[in-house]
Amino acid sequence: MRFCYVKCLLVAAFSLFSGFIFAQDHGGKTEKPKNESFNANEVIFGHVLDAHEFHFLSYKDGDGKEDDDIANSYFIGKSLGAIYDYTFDGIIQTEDTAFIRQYGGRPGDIKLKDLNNNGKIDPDDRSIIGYTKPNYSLSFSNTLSYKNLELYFMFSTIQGGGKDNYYLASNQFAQNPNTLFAGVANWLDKPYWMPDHPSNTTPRPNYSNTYSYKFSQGHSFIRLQDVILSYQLDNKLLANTPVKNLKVYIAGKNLLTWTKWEGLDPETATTFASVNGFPVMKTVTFGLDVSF
Amino acid sequence: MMKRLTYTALFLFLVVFAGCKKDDEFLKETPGDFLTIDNAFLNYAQFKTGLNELYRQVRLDYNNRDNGDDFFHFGSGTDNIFVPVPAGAAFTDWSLINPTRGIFNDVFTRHFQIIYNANNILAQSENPAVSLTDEQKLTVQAEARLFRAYGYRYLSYMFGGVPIIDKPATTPNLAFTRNTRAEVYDFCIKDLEFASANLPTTTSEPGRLVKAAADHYLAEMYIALGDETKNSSLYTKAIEAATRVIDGTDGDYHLMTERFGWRKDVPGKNVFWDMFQMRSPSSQSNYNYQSGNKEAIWVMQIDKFLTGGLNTTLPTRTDQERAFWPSFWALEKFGYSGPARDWMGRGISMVRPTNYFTYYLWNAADSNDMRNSPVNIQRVFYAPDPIINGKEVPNYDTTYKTNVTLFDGSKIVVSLKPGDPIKKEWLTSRQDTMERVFPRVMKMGSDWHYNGDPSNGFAQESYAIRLAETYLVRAEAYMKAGNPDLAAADINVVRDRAGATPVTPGEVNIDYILDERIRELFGEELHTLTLCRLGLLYDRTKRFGQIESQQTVMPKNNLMPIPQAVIDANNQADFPQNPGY
Repeated sequence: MRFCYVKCLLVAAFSLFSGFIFAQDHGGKTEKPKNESFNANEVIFGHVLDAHEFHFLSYKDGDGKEDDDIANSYFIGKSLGAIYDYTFDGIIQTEDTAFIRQYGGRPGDIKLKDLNNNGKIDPDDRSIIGYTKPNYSLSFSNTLSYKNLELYFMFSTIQGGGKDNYYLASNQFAQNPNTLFAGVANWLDKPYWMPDHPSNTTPRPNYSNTYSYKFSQGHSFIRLQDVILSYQLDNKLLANTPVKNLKVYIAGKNLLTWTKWEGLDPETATTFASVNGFPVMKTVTFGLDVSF
Repeated sequence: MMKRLTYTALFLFLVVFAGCKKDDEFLKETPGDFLTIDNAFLNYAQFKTGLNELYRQVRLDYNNRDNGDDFFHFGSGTDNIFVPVPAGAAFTDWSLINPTRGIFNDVFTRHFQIIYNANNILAQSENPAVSLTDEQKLTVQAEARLFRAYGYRYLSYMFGGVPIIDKPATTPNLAFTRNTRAEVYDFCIKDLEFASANLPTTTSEPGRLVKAAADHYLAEMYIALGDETKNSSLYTKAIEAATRVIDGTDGDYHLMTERFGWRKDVPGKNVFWDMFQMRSPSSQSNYNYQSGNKEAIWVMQIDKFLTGGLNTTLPTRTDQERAFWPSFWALEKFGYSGPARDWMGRGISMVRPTNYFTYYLWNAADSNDMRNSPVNIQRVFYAPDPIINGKEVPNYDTTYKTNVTLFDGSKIVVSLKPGDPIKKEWLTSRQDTMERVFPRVMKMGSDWHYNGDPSNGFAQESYAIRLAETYLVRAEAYMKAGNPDLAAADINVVRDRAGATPVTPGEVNIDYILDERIRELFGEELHTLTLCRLGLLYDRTKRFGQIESQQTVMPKNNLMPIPQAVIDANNQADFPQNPGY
């Protein structure tokens, strides 16, 4: 009965062009193609089949200016990984009657900004609210020795934020738990908006995310990735044994993580209840290193 | 030495370039280890496999996921059904309907996929490498074109004009523009005319498209184009097309008037009930024409025990019962105590009939209407038999006591024996009447389940086209062509079968026809499409919708919003949103 064949080209061209376009990201910005020559540090567009079709992708719709590609999040002059979404402006409160009259919604819904002031919330009110890319990543390690004791540790961190709001990821399950299980939302302990318990950050429990807002959240983190404490037995004590060298150690992996991300693994932005997601495993190893 | 080198160089030169005859041929790939359109579809059996994918995609319109939004096109938020849980949900509250709502992207994409796949089959059927007889080729093309028309019919009714694409896309295009609705209708009609001329009248394969299906859609689309272009001559063509279905030209069809099917001996039921009985454990279907249902024109095939008989997105059951039935099994009062039993079904009220459907649609004087009999719409619920030692025991003397708070705030204790009716005045909470107890439209579910399991033992076919609808389509055409007598006559064929009082020609108007459609086709037809086609979604909802829908529906809702993802992606040309969104 069922039969699957070639991926739907039309729809690919319609809603998702990734079949045709590849982009190379070397940390640069999206720029106009310059005389069809491409700098490796800029976004370049190519057609997987034919080079001459570069023309097609040079972004001209006849109005004389280069166009952004919202569907693929390529914005001229902006970094890759732009998140194009509505601007969150708190939660609609019971007393916001003027807002409700103008824009609809109910107390406890999220409040979005009417950026172009046209009196309604529509797709034109979306803008770049941040980026998925990190600002920087860093790791720091050191070994401290005292007599026979040795302590090795390594911290790693990926940081976003800043004025352009880097390193965001969508986190609807945590920010609007109703997205996952409609109608039975309170499976997360959150300060939900309630008439007697107003909140300006978390919508009411059964909010159905009318505008498909992505609820982007920063997932910067600092992690104590490795720590090893070891003790080297004095060789003098081993002089009369066949043992040449003896070391005892205890090693820990991923013991501590500091992050504001509400989910499983901040590094991969894994959300709660994600199908293939796992939290980062903590490991503790005890060891004895003996050589003869 | 020098000579040898020269010869070697010459030899290598020849070897390297000997293969290059023509650039085109040199570059042409012949895939040996994966499928493309060119090598997957070469004979009739392969083409039929390709067409099966289209049947599967259309079936998703009737049963897709375990998700209330997938049922929206059966009319959610309009005059027949609404979404009761939670309060103020989308498709009850129309102010929540906007271009970023996922379901619009789902259906838009799905129907363009149908069109894309049909286009590929059509293009490949003309490939000289294909071994099809002329007759096979015409059948394949007729089926593919009907599917293409089906896709465009859905899209143009629901979203208005969309781009007409009549061949497979081979180059990327980000500059689609919207054709007008009339152009799309016209395109569909040409496909349907071809399908009508070339499809067989009968088939031994249940669910396969036949000529009557093409003519049914053709009749409806002539009306749609007639409305759109104010060309009344098209109503005559609509009448002709529908007549071919009704008068036997397209095969032997008639409304079922006698009890039939594998449960025809179940006492106390009627023929309308027989029409919606789930496949027997030995796979006898009451839905299919091939098994004697002469009213069935096109049936979505479902079989729980056959590979491919259900969707991958809903692999253990179909969801009509769950979506349309109340969760009275979960009342936890009046003797109901938890898990659903076999005869209860396991509804979770994703959608609920409107008050208009439950009360106003059925004229009090018309008590004979079979479709409104307790056999087909259960309005009174009774305290169940108790379960003793894991078994339901009939005639057991027990009393259920329930604390009830009445509307006026007074508290009483209700004592019921098994079989006693649950009175309306005891149902006073929102949950009571919106989720747990409301009229149960019996055709959406079943009183028995495979393996006695109400959760996953339900798997029922769906009618995409039933002859009763063809009569109502022709009635609409007659009415619009200025012939209310014949319009009334057609409606009365449908009403007669149900034992309802005949309609007089003077009473026939579009409201009456829409009411009759709901009475006859509730939960079967994609009612939202019908209302969008007629441009009456706003008007009907404003008058007959559930109160929250009446308060929030706006004229813009006569068309659904183009999904924002489509507009965003089409960045080389303007793709205007429907007005108002």
